[in-house]
Amino acid sequence: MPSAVDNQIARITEAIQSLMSGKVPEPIHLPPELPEGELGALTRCANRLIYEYGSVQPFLYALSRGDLDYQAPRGRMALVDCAKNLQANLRHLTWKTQQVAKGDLSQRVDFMGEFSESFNAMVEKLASNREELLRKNQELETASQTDSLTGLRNRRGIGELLRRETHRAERSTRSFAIMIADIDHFKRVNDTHGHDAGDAVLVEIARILQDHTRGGDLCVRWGGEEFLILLVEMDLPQAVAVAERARLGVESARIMHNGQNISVTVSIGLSIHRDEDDVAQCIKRSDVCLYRAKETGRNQVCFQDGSDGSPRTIEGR
Amino acid sequence: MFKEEREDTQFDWTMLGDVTQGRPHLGPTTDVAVYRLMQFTLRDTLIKEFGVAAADRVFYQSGKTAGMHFYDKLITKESEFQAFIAELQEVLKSMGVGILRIEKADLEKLTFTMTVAEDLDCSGLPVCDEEICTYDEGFIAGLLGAYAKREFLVKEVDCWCSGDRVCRFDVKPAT
Repeated sequence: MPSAVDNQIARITEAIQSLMSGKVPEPIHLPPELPEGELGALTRCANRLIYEYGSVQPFLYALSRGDLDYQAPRGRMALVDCAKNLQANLRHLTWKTQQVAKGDLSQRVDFMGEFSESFNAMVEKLASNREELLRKNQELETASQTDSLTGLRNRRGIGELLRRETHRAERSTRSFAIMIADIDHFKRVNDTHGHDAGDAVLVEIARILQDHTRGGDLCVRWGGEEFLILLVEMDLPQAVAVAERARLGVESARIMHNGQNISVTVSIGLSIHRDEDDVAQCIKRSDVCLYRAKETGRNQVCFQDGSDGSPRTIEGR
Repeated sequence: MFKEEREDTQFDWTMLGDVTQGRPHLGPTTDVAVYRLMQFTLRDTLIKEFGVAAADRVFYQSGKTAGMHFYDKLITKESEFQAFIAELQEVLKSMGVGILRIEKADLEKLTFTMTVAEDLDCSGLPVCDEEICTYDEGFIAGLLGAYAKREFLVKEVDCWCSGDRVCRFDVKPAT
């Protein structure tokens, strides 16, 4: 018949076997008839194991299924130390990943071995891809706002700039002028010399008009053979002088194309932005002046000074 | 300067002196044990003289003052939160204070969970089921308060001394 000591050892053995199979047994009591001493110490050790395993098991299960908010057991336990460390690492890693998801690609990890290298490589790749996308996006944006033939901005590319200049002028005492230049009889150039020659003329006229603007001014291919020039911080007499010099520059230019010498002229309509204007009204007035310049003989500058609202040409021409 | 009676804090970074000039041979660093010797003998005496709650208040408030001055002296101003944390991590690591990490941050509610590993105050101390990094609590409150220009409450929820491997701090705005 087994003794009480044998029975106690059997209970401890059974508890340890339960732990080894993943089950948490009840704590083991030391029967009162058994003495403290070696058997008592063994029982306490077994109970400590049962307690630690019972605390650690649900924490480890929670960790294994990704529940990082699970409260780790308190106190220093050999079994749980590494898992607590892992939990802290994963929590911090989760935060870092969230920052990457929000667009912060400066995040790096230096505490999880090969995983760190992979994480860092991934973020670096994302950063370089983003850089490349931004660059290409910028190129596309620029291309979509640029006239491919003349290299000038096109109509799409100036809306914001015109609005900005309008706001600046409203806050300043200096206004701005809008001049619209249109190549006279451009269809005749195409019909006589061919479309390649027409293109060469457009490129050269764009260059001449740009040469007559300053750094802050804006020269735009407004459509077809028409160009819009924004002359910033300029009053009417100054703007008329610029327009006339540009007209003369075009008139005196000899455009060589395939051995042919081509001459063209431009008609220019011009008006000054007024305080009560929106920019569309200013463009409209310049357009009316351009129409008048065409109607009354071409190769001239026609402007509206605002005093009587009627378009005028330069006196003496 | 150092021993005048005062109602409000008069601490100024210049009180730390010119270490380069003053310690040409020994340099600016010392043994962590020496720092802890002062920290825990001071705590011991404060508790003996004034009790645990008062000692904690002293540590929290002095940590807070330190955190504010640390921010003013060593951290770039007006930066975004991410950049602020990245710089703070770098400075704390390079000065051997600890390895700061963020576990959670809600920038709308201004609540944070932060950890400090290899903490200057406590890592390696005996486990005693207590959170003892009161100075760190104040230090973090001072740092974040100086950064965000508002008051924070910081509570240590896990500590090396309570059996964790890192010190974990919950941060929330003071209402």
